[in-house]
Amino acid sequence: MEKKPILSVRNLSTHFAMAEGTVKAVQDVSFDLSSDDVLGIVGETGSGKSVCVKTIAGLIDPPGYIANGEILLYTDEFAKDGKKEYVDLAKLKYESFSRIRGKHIGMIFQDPMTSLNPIFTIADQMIETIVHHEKVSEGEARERAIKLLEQVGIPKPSERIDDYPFQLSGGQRQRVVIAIALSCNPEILVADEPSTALDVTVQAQILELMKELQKQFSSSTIFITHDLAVIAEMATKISVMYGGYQMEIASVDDIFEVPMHPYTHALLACIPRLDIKQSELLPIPGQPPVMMNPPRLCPFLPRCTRSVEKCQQVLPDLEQITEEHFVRCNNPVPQKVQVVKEEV
Amino acid sequence: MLRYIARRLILAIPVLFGISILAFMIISLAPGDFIDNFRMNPSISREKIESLEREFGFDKPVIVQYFLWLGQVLRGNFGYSFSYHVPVFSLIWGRLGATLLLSITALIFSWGIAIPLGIYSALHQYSFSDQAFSFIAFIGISIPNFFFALLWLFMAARTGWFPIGGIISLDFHELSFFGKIGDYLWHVVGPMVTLGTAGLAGLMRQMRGQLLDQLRQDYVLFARAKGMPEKVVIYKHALRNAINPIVTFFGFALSGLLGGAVLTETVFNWPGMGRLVIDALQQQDLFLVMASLLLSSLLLIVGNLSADLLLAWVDPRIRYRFG
Amino acid sequence: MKKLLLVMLVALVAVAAMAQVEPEYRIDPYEGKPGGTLFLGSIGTGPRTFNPFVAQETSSTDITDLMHQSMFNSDNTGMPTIPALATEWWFSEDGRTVYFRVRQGLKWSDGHPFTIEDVRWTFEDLYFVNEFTRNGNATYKDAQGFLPEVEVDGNVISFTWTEPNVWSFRAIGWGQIMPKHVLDEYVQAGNPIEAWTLADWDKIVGMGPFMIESFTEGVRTVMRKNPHYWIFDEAGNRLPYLERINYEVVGSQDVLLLKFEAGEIDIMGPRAADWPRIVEQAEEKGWVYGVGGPGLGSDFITFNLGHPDPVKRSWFRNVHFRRAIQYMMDKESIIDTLFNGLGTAIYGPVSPSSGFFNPEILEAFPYRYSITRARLELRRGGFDWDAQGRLIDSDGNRVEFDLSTNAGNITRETIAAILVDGAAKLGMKINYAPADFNLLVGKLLTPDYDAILIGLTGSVDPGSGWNVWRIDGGLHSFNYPPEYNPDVIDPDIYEAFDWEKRIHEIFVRSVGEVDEQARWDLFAEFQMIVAEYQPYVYTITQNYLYVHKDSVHLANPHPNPAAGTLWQIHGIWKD
Ligand SMILES: Nc1ncnc2c1ncn2[C@@H]1O[C@H](COP(=O)(O)OP(=O)(O)OP(=O)(O)O)[C@@H](O)[C@H]1O
Ligand SMILES: [Mg+2]
Repeated sequence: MEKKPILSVRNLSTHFAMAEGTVKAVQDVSFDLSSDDVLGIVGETGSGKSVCVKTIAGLIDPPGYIANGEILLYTDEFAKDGKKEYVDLAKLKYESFSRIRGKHIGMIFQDPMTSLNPIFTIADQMIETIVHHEKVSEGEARERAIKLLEQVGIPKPSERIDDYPFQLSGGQRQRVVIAIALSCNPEILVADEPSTALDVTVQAQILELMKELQKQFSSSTIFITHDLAVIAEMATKISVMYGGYQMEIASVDDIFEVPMHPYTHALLACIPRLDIKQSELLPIPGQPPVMMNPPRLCPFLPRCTRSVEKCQQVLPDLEQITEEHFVRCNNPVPQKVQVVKEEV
Repeated sequence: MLRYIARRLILAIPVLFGISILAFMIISLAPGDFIDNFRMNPSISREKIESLEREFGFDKPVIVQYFLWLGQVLRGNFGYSFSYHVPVFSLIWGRLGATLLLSITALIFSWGIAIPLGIYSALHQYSFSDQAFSFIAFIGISIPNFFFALLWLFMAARTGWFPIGGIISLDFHELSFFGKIGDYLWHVVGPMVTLGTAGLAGLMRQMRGQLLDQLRQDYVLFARAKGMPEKVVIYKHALRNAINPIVTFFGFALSGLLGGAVLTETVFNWPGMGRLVIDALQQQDLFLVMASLLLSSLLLIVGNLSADLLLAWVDPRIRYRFG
Repeated sequence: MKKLLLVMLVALVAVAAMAQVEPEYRIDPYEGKPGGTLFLGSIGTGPRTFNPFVAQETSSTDITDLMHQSMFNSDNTGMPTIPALATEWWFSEDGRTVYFRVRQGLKWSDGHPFTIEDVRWTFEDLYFVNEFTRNGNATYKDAQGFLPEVEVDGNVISFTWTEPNVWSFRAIGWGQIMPKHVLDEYVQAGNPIEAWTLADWDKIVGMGPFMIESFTEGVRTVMRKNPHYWIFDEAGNRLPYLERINYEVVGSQDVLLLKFEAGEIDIMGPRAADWPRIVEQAEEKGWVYGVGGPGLGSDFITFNLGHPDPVKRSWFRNVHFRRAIQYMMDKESIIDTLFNGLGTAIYGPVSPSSGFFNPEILEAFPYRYSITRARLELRRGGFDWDAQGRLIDSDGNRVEFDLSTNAGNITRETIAAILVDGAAKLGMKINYAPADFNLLVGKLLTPDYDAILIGLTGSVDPGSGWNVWRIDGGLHSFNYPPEYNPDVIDPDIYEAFDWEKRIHEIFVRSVGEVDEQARWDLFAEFQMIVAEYQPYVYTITQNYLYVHKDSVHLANPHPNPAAGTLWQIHGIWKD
């Protein structure tokens, strides 16, 4: 039987209606996420990665809005007969999202320093989540919280749990954030650059932890990063974003071995290294795209070395090349090149 | 914590000491003294003026006057008011009740309105009601107190809904206990609203700004991402953080409790300390001014301390710094 | 035997009758109705003390005056003609002794008998001791600096000075008699100044018509009629008619007016600015209102005749210069601006409302506003104008000086502004800068000033101004003699003027002038001299304004600055 994706995003567009014009932050994004999948989203800053996952979690506030598309989550949360069904999160009421977030979709954000509320204890912030979703007693929730802290590698968790965030190191805080995100066994874990703000060594530890936990909790994961190298070890699929559009989405192997989009190529040419501190991608020549009222053309066009006549006229569709490989380009890099390269 | 408080209070002693020297010097060296009114009285002789100077100690150098005064103060005697001929503190105590009644109710009034409105405005940023509240509050801030007070009294005189100033009714002494309380409250409404509206706008904008600021913070996003319902996100996470700076405000407000509001008190015939002290200052009723200054400084110190303690109470980061 | 018994009986009755003197009550011709409460407002913060010989400000004396009585009262022109605690008074042949016959059989407000010993004690043991009162005892001394000998003979008390002393006689007649049985302990302890503070409001005993029934600091004073008061009406009612007086503390005139309009206050003295508003509503609301003549005090400009700068000194000493200032003042427009026309131009030290006012000064020295006359005076004084029309003195110095007044006093600030304007028309430059009251007093008394616009409390009797007009007076600040200010006044530049000496003489002589007409004449001359030489350049004063509900019946048919709406308060009654 064909495995049903747990999350299926169809033609999602998220726009911000600003006074100066419309910011088209996410344009026509589609992907499927099955259980065990680890989807990596890469792209340079401003390409719409965070907006994309925030939209999925219903965290876009006005002036942002979903301009188009569906976010189908396979869940029994709202089912009356207890059977799982696809629920379109794009049409879900705001209040109902608190039953999805935290419980079915866990999220981790970039900056652990600010993700925790500074004036409540770790215990408080963990317990409120567990009690809210799992309807257990506070005592029980505390037990679970301590266990979670242990799993994410916090030493002496039964003591540290009563600490305030400012008493923990950055790495520890991110571990706590991860613990909270996982505390209700969500089917989907979204990690938005979980390690960028951390020290290089700590980064490595957190990533190691993520990998481990991913196996342990077997939740499907969406992992946003600038760092293709990080993704390479974890991800099963990679989506490359640029200017709000998905440029290419494919299995991790295809992306690294047979990348088709010129932008993916450019990215691969400048994979950052773990041993030096880098929070941004190495620069690709040219200006990043404008997001305000963009023309309906490929956003990479101004920087593209392979542009053709047609690029000036139409925006290419996201075309399916193989079963799992999609690319949005009028003049994709032929797979052959890769072969040639291998022959060398 | 207790040690911290004790240390702060001990540190306050030299501060009070310094304030007292400075104030004494400034008042004494300022042109004129309490006897000026006597000097301008055509029926008082030169000899009597000199004997008054001796009586009030103005014939001695200022520094001697100061230490004589300080010596008395250290023995618990704050001196007599020149114009009332009674110990200064009996005057101050007599007016403390009215001052506190007004300043505390005004505080409750302005905070009770400004905080909820500020929160509401933050949660409905740019909505019609947000802008309407700001508009009304700014009108409140821009109308001078005495003018507002006069408008109020005019309204009171026309409608009879409120008394035309004063603190108690004519039949006050015949009222029951609760009747008396009611009478006080009925009288305090006017000055309370006058004083309260003046502080309202600032506080409301402050609350609104703080909350908006906190709502933009990452931990609010994370709390939402955890699936916390909106109520918890706003009222537990964002609001508690937004309140912190406001709490400091509150401490400062405490230290201003005795500061009084001369114009409002005057227009409303409110027998508060503001008028007493302003009169004393104009007449250079030295010991009365000194005593009220010391009391206000003490309150300032206590107010600052309580602001710090309150902040420590609501903000663990501060609490841990105190050890 | 029988005869002897009868004689003894008669003697006993006689003795008993003597011990039980018939009280000498006063009968006043009022026909009012007893009862009711009078509601009054007191601007400011309320009384500061209930001690009448300490109290300085009207908010205190308004109340103490109701509780005490003196040997005589004023009639409704302010003259001391009505017998009060004394039934009559007269001078000895040589004028050195004054006698008062004191009423007998009266009682203090607490029921304690009032005797002539209270009178003796009040003066001899209390008021004559310099330290025991705030104003000191100078007013009771004769020109030689002696206090009088006091003697009591039956119901007559006499005061004898080394020379005739009318001024002190008046001071004694006006002096409020204090209860010895209450205050003697303070006198014995040497601290009567500490008696009767605000906290002692319920301990006060007096001979006045009202006593304090309750007092709330900063809020109100409720007064209740004295049950032992000693004035009756012809129908045999013990006065006062009013059962109570409620003195409400009111912060400002604005609020007083609101309260009056709302009917919470019965009588008030409105500001000139509010007068049209009063008149407009009077008929509909049933108010009685009236204008009672110019006030007793007036603001004036004083120049420093002993100025250290010889140039300025020469201007200020120049009588033509001072007269020019008097001429250049557009008093009518000041009165219109400030008082809605309800004011009076003042040209001398005695108000037209006083019985001592000498109307001749208006004809002899008609200082009406005239720039031409001002120019004329200046020219007579040796001043001239340069090519730019600027005023210069005979040595060619530009005439420019500083003028100050106490900041916050709107009347004075307005007058000063109009003065600056008038001076500009004469090419004279006045640099006007208001200053704090205390600073101003300091400058005035040091003396360290060019010109100051200020006022002094006035009274009906010009004799009260002795401290200002006598050369040795403490307030003789326009030309202090070097004896009293050796550090400041240089004897070489000091000059005493003839007119100044004559005024001094008048004040010294008036003290000894027993004859009323002769005394009046002395003060008439004094007014002429001041009008001629303008040592103070007088300005304007507001007229006495009053309004009350028609349910209130005043005892005073014509309230005026010398005797106001509350004159003979025991005769006031309400419907
Ligand atoms: N609340 C918002 N209002 C208006 N524009 C927004 C808002 N949030 C994001 N955007 C715009 O949407 C675009 C995409 O932003 P997004 O945060 O998704 O980028 P990103 O790919 O996550 O970048 P980074 O790697 O820096 O995190 C940007 O141009 C940004 O300016
Ligand atoms: Mg991002």
